[in-house]
Amino acid sequence: MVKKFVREITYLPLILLAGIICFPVLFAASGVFMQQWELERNLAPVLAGAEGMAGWSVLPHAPTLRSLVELLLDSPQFFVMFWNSLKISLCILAGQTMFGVPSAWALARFRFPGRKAVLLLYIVLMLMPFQVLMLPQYLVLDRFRLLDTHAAVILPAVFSTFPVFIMYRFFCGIPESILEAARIDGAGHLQVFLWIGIPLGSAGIVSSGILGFLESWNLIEQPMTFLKTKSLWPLSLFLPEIGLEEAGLGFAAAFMMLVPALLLFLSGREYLEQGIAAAALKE
Amino acid sequence: MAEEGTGEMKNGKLVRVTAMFFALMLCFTILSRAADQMSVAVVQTERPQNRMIEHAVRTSGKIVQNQELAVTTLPDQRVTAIYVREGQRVAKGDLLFEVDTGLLDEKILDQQLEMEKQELQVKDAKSQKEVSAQQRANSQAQASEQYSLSTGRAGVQLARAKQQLDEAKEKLKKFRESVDEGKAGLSGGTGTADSDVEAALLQALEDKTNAYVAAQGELRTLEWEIENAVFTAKQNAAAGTLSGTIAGELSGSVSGNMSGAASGASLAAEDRVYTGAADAEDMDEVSVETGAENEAVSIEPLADDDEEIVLDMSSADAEPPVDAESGENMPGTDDASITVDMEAPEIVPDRTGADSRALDDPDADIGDMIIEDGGDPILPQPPTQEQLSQIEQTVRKSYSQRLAEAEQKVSSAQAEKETAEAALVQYQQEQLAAESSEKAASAQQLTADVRAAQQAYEDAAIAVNEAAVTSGRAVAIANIDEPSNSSDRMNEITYEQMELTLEKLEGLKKAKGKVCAEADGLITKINIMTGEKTTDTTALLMADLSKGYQFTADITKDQQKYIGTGDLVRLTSGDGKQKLEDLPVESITADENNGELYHVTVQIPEDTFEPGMNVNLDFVRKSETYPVTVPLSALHLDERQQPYVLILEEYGSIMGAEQRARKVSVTVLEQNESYAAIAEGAIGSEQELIVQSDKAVDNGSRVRVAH
Repeated sequence: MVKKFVREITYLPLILLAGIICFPVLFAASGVFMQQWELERNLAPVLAGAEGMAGWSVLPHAPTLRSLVELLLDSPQFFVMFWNSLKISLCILAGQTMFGVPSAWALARFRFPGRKAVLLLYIVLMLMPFQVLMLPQYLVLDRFRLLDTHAAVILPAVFSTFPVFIMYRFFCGIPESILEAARIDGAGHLQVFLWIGIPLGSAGIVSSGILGFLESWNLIEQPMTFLKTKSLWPLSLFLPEIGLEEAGLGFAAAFMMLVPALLLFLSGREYLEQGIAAAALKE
Repeated sequence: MAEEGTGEMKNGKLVRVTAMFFALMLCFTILSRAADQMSVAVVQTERPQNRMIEHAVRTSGKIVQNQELAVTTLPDQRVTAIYVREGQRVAKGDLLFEVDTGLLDEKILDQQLEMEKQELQVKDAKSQKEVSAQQRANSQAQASEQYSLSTGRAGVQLARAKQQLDEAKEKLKKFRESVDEGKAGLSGGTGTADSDVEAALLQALEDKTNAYVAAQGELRTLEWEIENAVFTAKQNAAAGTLSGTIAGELSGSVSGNMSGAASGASLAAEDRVYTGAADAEDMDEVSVETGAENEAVSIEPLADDDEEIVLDMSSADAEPPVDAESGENMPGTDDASITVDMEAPEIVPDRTGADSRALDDPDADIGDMIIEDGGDPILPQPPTQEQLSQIEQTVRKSYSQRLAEAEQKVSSAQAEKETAEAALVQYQQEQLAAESSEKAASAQQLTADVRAAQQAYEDAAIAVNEAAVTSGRAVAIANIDEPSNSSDRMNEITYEQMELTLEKLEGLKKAKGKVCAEADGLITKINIMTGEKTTDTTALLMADLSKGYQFTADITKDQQKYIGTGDLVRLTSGDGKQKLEDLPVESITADENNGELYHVTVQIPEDTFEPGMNVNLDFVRKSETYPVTVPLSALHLDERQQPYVLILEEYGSIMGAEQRARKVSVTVLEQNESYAAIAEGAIGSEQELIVQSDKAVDNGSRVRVAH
């Protein structure tokens, strides 16, 4: 009885914490159904410089789907950016799968001189923020005349070190005995990789794919830096274009932007948890 | 196994949801694009062109005759038949209409009787005029005769009075001489001295009298000047600037003339003043000042041997004589000089100027003259009586000092004259006292005689003057022209007019009441009706075909700017079958009633269009070549009525390369109903201009070019 009470007492701050964390989502969700005048009244002190403090009500005074309908039926710009985001994200995922999986396998299963140094370099590069890599990347992309193309965003992300690092952890977890048995049975390196490594490391691959998708879906600095043509912009740059007069549209766009990530998260939640746990493990 | 199956099923659901989500997004993508394109205006564009601006002038008008002939006939004639109709061509000599000859005969007879009556009236009027002329001549002769008799009689009396005065003076002189001789015999020399003293006193009295009369003359002159100045000032105030100027000039002229007359009068007063106490020798000239300011009527008894009195009535200049002081009418002319000869009295009026006039009052008469000559001195707001009184007081005040001086001068001259007179009387009394009683009695008697004779002479002189004035006035009245009477001439004119009418009536009768065309023509209007009587107006109107035709039409004020006299135009008949090229415009004149319309005329060659035809005129005025011309549909006006064009502009957006309209203000150099020439610099020749749109397009509107 006492144990149960203590447990409930322990849940209370956690619930509060969860509520605080979820508030932005509720904030965005309720904004979708608000009318323009309500949004202006709530946000004018922040966005239009009006007097007073910005306010918010979780439940709209006069709920409406107007913003959502306007976004879906009267904003072709949103869809251009939506498909741009999808295109960039899928290309990045494909690239990472093509180049990251073999890299992680090689680092995990082969022993060669300098392997540890390369691994250390990967970790260091993974920890570097984009602001550090921005200028070198810009110069390289400019040199290759890739600026203001989707390739300028896709290619650096394809060769990102973070998925390699996650998959490295999963590939390291495959027992050496299974690989030995395959070799004894006459399997070569490629066969071992394709028929033993990938199936057994699929959780890591999916996990890194989900994390990679979420990261590329939310890319904002890279497109802003490398893309000048508006028609190439991803959805993450749609919101900065929205003003107070289109606040409803902004909330609707944010809501729609959340949907693919949410679906992906729900689909691969288990893999994602494994991937996050793998990233936290030390070698 | 069960958990795995549930997980796979859940994953499969999520995959389907995800797929559905993306499928929905694809649908909405298509729908939103379709909706977006519906709001985009589809436009058509053109590039500016290098071309001329053509101004076409098109109008339609009619062919009319160059000259119209009016066919008239005498009024009050009954029309028995009309042989033409409107629009009919007639040749010279063709019968147009016919009038009733019976009624015509009656009219002729009536006209003849009326003419006979008129002839009698002419004769009566002539006779009446002759009688009037004879009566007037008689009146003039009588007035002249009366003048001669009156002035002659008065002259004779004056001569007699002068003779008696001379005789009395002579007697007194002889008496003095005898007394002086006696005294000289007793005391030696004093008699002559006494005589000299008396002569000196007499001379002094004469001088003082002259001075007194001159002072009186000056005073009267000044008084007249004051009255004239007051009158002029009032006239100027009443007549305003313009009229005042005219009146001022006229009154100034009169004033000048009057001043001249006054000067002459003053001169006469100085030189010819009548001195009652003067000796007979000093009275060669006796002047009676009648007007002082204007007129000096001097009576000049000439020397005894030629006994002639000359009445010099000449004024200083050509102005009519004015008796300003006496208020009596003065006979006079512009250059009046009436000479009365005592022996053969006759009047010699010198009538070289305008008609003589008798003026009663100087001010009033001058006023009349000014009003007559100066036109209509009417002002919208004439000065009030108070203002006029104030003006009069101001003028009189300005003359007050001079008037006081003149009056003072008269007073002093009169006092001096009386002093001299008293001195003479005292001297004579002393002389009488010094003499013996017998001689004193004689001397007193002689002195009294001289005085009586002198008084008689003075009266006679006044009588001469009055006779001259009175009878002269009668002569002037008799000489006034009678009012013009033109009744005789008017009767003659009426008779001549009746003669002309009769001639026409007889001419019509001779033509048996038939009226024919005088030239080839086209009947355009018929104002008479069969059975009705003719009126004073035109019976028929016909176009004179021998003078050619012309095209006339109306054009608007805007069209008039592009067509001028001499421009070669094309005329096309209404049915389009007949065309005439390169015909010069003869005239373009503004419509008198409507300022927005102009009449254009073009002379038509013979045997082309018929009168009355509807014809179209075409003319194209080409401008210089402009490097930037745009279709008029590309030109718009903003709220400030400033012209602008919308050019096509490409820009990058989220949707990719899009096009929108951009407003560019331009300056229109010239335009017609299709194109406008734009000043260079605002738009280039490569820019696409929006000339047509399926929706309203403004600055910044997204557009799509229709191909």
